[in-house]
Amino acid sequence: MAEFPTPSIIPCRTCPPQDQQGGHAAGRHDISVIRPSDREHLAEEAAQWLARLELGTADRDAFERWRSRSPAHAIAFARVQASWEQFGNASGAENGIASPAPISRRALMRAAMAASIVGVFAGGGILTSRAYAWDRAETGVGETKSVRLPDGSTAMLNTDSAIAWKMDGERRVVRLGRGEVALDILPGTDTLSLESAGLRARLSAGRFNARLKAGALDVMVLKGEAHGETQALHSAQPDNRAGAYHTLLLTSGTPSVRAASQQQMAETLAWQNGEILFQDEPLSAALDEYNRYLRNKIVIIDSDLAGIRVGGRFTSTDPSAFLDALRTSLDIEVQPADGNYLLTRKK
Amino acid sequence: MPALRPIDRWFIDEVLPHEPAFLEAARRLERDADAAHDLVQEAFARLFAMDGWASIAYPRQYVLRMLRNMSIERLRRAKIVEFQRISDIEDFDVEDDTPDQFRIASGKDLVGRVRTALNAMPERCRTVLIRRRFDGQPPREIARELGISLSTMEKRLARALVLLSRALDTVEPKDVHEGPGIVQRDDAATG
Repeated sequence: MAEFPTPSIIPCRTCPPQDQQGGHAAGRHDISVIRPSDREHLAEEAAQWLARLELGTADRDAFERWRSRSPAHAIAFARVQASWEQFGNASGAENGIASPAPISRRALMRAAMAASIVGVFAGGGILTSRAYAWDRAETGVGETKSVRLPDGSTAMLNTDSAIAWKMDGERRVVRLGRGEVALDILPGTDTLSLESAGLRARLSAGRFNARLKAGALDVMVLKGEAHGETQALHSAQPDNRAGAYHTLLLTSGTPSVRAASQQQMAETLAWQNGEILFQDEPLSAALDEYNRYLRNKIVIIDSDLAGIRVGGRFTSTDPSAFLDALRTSLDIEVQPADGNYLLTRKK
Repeated sequence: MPALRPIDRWFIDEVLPHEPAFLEAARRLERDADAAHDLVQEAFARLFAMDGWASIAYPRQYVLRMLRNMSIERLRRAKIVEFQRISDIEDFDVEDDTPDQFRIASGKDLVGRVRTALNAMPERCRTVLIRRRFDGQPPREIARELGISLSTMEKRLARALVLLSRALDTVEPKDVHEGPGIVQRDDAATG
């Protein structure tokens, strides 16, 4: 077995091709092109980074530096990540596998379904009540949790969130009780019904982020399609379908669909990674967001601080770096009091 | 879950699944497998370098068109131009702008490849991969039960990932069902 090289800079400028196969080979290489042997080397480095990230032994800054060296590095990482995800999907709901053989049967069935069903929406039928208990999962403040649902889909709960689900082979329902959940949905015989506070969205196979906020259900689609249902059954609203990189906002009124900004997407991906991302937001909004993750809340005392714009990437459960940044770069006094942090302007 | 930026998520979901079709198109444009791989890789690199990727409505068609244009660029720079290739590229037909269908390699194929890759990899790599990915077992617990260090486990998992990626990446263009929009050349499959 070959030993792994430690990550190092890969020369991205190609040397002259070693074995030319045809007359047109000269001059066809571009600076961004790397030779197959380099590509292989990059693939190995990318695998090592993914292994470290998965095992929690990665130095995140070093990883970001590595990935940003060239597009080829980013591509190599995306490839190995894609394989990792595909591998998980092929295994589906199967748990505790000791040898590779038992994977195949159920996975084959799922694959066969996948081939025929992706993207198809069935009309919203009347819910039949069946005597299956709801399963539940929840997180406290500052926790996240990943849950594998019976159909092999995964749900990742953000801080202070609760979901319940019921699946009987054909019908799949997930209820968001509070908070936020990221859903990675595998194809099934029908769409998955996401319900919350009397609102319902039908989700195709794909990747979604749903957040319940002030009685409204905000569903961001990263892959697949979300179809909003209003209170009136079968109302034919033309604008209640959100495709990839759109958000579907469900309220008691008319659903609305909007393009998701890159910022929204980046924030959504950040929380799944234990991070919180601010991109030029007012301090008051940033604190609302941060406080979701904190038992000890950060509170603005001098109200004129509320409009200060802040940005940065922080660990969601530990605000010390964030508070330091407020202190040093914004001249804000941070006083611990009663387990909370009070923000005042420095005199 | 590792750090995926929006562009990585988009690339994995919307672009990479179509790679077999890109390679097949590139082979018709470039005629030799190495050059075809380079062309696709370069198109991917350009995607990563551009702003506004999120507004690309049909990534598959977009990349196919990129490949065609890049191939023409390359031809123009080449010292000796083969006339036959110019007309070939002019004949190259990018699929029309119908919405993408999910024409990715079949799930059955995927499962077969995963299974083959698992069977072929060393036991010690497979064990770590399965415990981490299927069972979701915490890294330290795996290390303790197997009696290995985290850094040894890192090496084994990385090795498993390389082998897995290699098995899943080996795309055979013939496996892909092409839509009617692409003109099939007679020698396309032999490239």
